[in-house]
Amino acid sequence: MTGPRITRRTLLKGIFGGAVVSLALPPLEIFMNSHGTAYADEGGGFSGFPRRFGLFWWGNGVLPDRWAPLTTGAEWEPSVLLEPLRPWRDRVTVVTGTALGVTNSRPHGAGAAGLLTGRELIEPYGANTFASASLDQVIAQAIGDSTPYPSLEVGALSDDSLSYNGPNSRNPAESDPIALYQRLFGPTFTLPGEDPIIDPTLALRRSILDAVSDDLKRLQSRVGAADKTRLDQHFDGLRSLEKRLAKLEQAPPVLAACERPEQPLDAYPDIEGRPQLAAKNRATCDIVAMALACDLTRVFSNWFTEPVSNPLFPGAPAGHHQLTHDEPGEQLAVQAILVQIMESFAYQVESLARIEEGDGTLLDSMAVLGTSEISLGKTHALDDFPLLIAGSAGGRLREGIHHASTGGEKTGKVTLSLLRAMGVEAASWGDEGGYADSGMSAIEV
Amino acid sequence: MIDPARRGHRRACLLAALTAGLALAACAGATRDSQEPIPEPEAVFEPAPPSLVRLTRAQFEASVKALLGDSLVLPSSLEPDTAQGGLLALGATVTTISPQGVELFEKAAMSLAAQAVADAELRSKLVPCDPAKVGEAACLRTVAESFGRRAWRRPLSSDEAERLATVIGAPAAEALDSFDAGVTYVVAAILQSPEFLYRVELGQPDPQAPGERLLTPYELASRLSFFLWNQTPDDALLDAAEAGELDTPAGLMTQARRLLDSPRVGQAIRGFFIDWLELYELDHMTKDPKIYRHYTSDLGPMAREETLRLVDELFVDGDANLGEFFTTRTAWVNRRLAAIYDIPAPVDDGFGRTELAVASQRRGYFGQVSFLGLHAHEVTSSPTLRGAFIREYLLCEPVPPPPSNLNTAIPEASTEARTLRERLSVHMENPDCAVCHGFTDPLGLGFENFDGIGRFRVTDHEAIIDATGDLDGAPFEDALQLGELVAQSPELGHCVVSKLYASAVGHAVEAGQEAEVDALATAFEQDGRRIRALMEAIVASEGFRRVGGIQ
Repeated sequence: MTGPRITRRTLLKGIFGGAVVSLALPPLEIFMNSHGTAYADEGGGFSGFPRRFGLFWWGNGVLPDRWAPLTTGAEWEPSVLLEPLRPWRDRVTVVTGTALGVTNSRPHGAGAAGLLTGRELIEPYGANTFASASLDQVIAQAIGDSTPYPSLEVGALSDDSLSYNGPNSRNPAESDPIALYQRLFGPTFTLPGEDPIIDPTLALRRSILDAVSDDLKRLQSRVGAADKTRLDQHFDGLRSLEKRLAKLEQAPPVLAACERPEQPLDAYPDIEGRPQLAAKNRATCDIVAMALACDLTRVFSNWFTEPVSNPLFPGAPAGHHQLTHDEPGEQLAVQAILVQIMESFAYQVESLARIEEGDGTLLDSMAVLGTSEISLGKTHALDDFPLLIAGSAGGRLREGIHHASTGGEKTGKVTLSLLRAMGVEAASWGDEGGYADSGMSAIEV
Repeated sequence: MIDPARRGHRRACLLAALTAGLALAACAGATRDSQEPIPEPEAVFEPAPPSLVRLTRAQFEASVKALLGDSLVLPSSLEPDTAQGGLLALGATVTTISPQGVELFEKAAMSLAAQAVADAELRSKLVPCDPAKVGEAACLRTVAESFGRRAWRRPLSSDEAERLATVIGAPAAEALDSFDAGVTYVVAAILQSPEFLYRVELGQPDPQAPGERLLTPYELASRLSFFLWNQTPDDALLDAAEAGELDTPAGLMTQARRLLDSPRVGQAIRGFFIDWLELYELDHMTKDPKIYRHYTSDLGPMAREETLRLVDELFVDGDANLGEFFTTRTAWVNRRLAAIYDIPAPVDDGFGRTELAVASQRRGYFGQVSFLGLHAHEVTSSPTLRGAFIREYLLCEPVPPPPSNLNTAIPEASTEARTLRERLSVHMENPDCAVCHGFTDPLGLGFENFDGIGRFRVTDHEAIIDATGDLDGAPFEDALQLGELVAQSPELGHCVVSKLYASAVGHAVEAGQEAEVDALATAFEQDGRRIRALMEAIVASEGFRRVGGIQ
């Protein structure tokens, strides 16, 4: 057993007492062109680092009367619920007043589908699923192809994610930090500067994946249309794993910010029947941030808690979902839970903002959407939808403002702005009530 | 007696209530009292189109153990199952394998193959030839053929076996300079293949009936084994398929009875109850230990074992009427559960059998944490959750979702409204709420003498609990009588028949199979509601061997 390893991050933490710092480090070589300057964006705007997308999701909505910042524009004054974001209000844009527009056919489910697909929830045989791929996967299809993991799905409570490749094709979330760590930074991970892995079994495993893909294609020729689609999705996973194994044999990219993150605890047992959501989220966010810095992925979704989930938060007299319905009056217990959730969102932002990259931080290249499936939990309302966006997506989105939308604008307009900021060429988002064909110009640069 | 027309009426009424906002109490009353003649649907059987059935996690685990050896260490993480229509078995017919799932299955396959080859005894079963005698190439091909047939549940084509041996096995043996490495990679490739991970039951044209499709003998063997054992077929069943024994109804039933007589049928019966009653959710059951001092995080799995011990006694070792599961005085408990139930604890560690007192309100599954604790909140009981579970899962009566934009708050306990019944009365007074809660809450309130973890109580906030009510017009005084009513209800019998049928054939019951399921339900009632007899009857049904055209 060696002594505590001093990483650059712990060193910085020590020097600056945990304050957020932004030290100039050399830009990442892989993102530099042959002249040593950063690649220019196709649009000519600020660039240099790949665009990256994150989603932070919590279940059961908010209390809209205590959600909106007290002022609009820059330097917005936090509401009671957004107080934990005060240190980050120059990095977080809050959009209030939009409406999802989809039919509220099923509490929680309709809103989740409406936000993540812009479409109505579909219910074949009474089971809820999405009509099309979720927002994170639409973005992953556009910007996730060159990294070992097209996307990562993580969570703090359970493996229930709402990341969908298409109907019934769900990407489960990894909610065990040590399993996430082993998957990304276990024995197969090599640090920049280290030699690639020389392992004859890698080629053999890839040839199995080839053979399995052939089996799959042969089977595909015999089955019906729905099964063909299912096997296509299975095939995508095989192809993705094959590419990942191939990359292990190549030298890792030279990335100044990339280092092995701290190993999380082996377990985060419930304390007094209460899951350690905040601690698990911190561990998960740190691992995810380093996965981005090491360019293992450019898209993540963090399912902090899920729709209808009912965890006991510290100090809460009942589970979250139950309280949103059963707590009478001002719902101060729900309010206290929401403040805790915002503390965890603030940590998500912090984990990205404290990794230096080029002249700035990881957060500069990102947009992290923080949202839920409803606005007011008690009534499952879909108007005045809660939307937080951290980061400017490489200067493409306005950071740090509160935009109070009026006139019942569609939430999908914000989604479309996000998609375009991520480089997805989309003329529109969603359909029917959730349809939007223009972005939210107030948050665009 | 089952009356399908009546059930149809209830469904229609539910739909009408949902769209028109009518009170469901009217529906419930109509179900039992209506004398209106409703025409019988035409009993024309039509099979559903086939879909690939992904092995559930339980099926994957049981199958790799059956294929490679019971001593294997199974992977700690695998693609999770997803329920559809209340069953993981149906979710398996629509879900895919995610990129992370592919990664986990690959890791699992490599690990399982390596474990089996490293164990001399397991290896000897896997490698039925001597490479020194027949040559490495020929022996790898034999491994691919013999293991492949068992894992893919059909003989491999010559091409398939050749590819596995020459493209996978031989290069691995050469690169790693070990014949056993070649075997490991062949086995790992077979276990990752869609031919193993999905049950392929596409059928072939029926020579006797133009335009119709029958499962092939191997597909039938696979369906039979996953239905009756919840795992891959054994060699004897595959041999029977190969010999054409499954081509006749008598031959199929001979094999069905062999499987039903094996102890492995317990794995399938337990698996069905886990799926039907959502007992897998017990892994995630949490309670506030400040309120429920008996709660610890291992309580849920213990409660599942309690329920499954009862399933074993009644339906695996015994052949009891389904109703007994809900009403029996037999209980299997360990010390922790006995403390919750206030009954004498077993003398030894682990589970012991005991009889609940005649005067006790606690009976069968309805008296267990698996019901009372799972369908409750973290800090309170929930008549709505318990009632909705009985409606949807036990009686197969869908509960519509609450209307949107409805204020769902209920009043806090006060001197005017102390018990949950009093506080929930808002559900009955507000017509928007009553539309669904009139359907669920009265049943759940019948179990209010049990708190949110399942302890018996007489009072709630110091007020005497009133557990009276009615099930669709039939009155009950307490949980005992409600349990009897549910246990005897024809809807329960029909529900379990549809669920088991759907699990067996891999699709929800649709119009084309309703008459067949109704007939099975009638026979189930007349035959004393015996689970294994029902399984046998399902195997003998048209829907078990026929599939629709591929769409």
